[in-house]
Amino acid sequence: MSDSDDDIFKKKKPSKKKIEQQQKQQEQQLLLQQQKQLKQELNQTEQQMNNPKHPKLVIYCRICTFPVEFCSFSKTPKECKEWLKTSFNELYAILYPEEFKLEQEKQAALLEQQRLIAQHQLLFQPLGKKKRNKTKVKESDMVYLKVKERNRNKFITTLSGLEKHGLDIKETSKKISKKFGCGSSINEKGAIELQGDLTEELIEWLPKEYPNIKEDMIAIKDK
Amino acid sequence: MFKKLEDLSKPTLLSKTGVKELKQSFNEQYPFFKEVEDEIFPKKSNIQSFKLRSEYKVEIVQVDKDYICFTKEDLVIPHLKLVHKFPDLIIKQQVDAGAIKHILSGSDVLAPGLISQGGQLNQAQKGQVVAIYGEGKENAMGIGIMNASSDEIKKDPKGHAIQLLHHLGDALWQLSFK
Repeated sequence: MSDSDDDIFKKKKPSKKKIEQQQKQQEQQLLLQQQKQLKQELNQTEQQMNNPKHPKLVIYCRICTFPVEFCSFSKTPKECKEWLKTSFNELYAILYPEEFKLEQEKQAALLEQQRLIAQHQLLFQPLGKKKRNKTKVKESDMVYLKVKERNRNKFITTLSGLEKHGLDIKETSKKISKKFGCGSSINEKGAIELQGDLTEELIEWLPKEYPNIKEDMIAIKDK
Repeated sequence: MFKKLEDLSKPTLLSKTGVKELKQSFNEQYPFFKEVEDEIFPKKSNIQSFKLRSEYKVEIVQVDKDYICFTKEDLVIPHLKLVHKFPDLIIKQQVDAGAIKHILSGSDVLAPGLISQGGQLNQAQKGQVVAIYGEGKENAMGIGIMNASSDEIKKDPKGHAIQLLHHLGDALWQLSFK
């Protein structure tokens, strides 16, 4: 199988949706160009406007092809109105003054409603508990706990980071082993190893004994 | 007259003599044409003409894809777009507001519409080409030929006063917007 055959099978024509989207984009671009041209020509000098030899500019509705003032006599008067709103707002105000006023009143009413709602929210704020500003705990004050599995149903916990608070490692290991009835030893890196899973109990016991250490400073490390 | 355009022939280039005759007849009927001649018929432009087979001696003239006028036997009648651009070319007559709906669907202009409060009658002779305006509107609505002079209409306001040839929304108007 040569490569050219594979390319022919892989090539797809653009689907119908894409073709429609492209056509819509082209129409919108055409509309914008026409509007720009008309607005440039509308800003003519007064001399040119009054000169009878200069050709006069007339705006034709895009939907019914009549001049803009004759749109109500055509077959599609509603759609012509909506087209006028989007493209030439000033002419819409001149030709249909009553509807222009109604829309302005509606918009004003909406704005007032939004202002009232905002005022209500300011007055009736919900009274909540004042939260203490959490000052971030520095890393140098943190104490870390770790739990490992030795065998089935046997765990090891490691404590690290106690030296920063000025505590002796040997004394703390003896105290813990006496209190909780477990074996303890000291690691090469300077951490305490205890037999058993003692995370919950340590979290309660450490702040009581040594008030320097606070609850926020203890964290459990995962592997 | 232009309700349906079915028998349009292919366009043919107008010769130099044909263009000269056109401009001569334009000058005779519309004295304002001299000052605007260069803008309507620019130099080095394609002037083509179509023939209508269903009517007798009617031709439509086109300049560079813009429809300008059509001729009927001896008269030259401009297209409505030309009248929108240069409104001083033709004599104006104004009609009542209640008659706009009927004119846009192809009926003739009756005399009471010209004499009532909302209308204006200007001096014109029998057989002249005239533009029709509506009450309260800026732009022209249609073009027609006078059936009788304006003095006679004032004496006896009865019957058809202006015969309609071309109005907004008929087949000739839609041709130029395709």
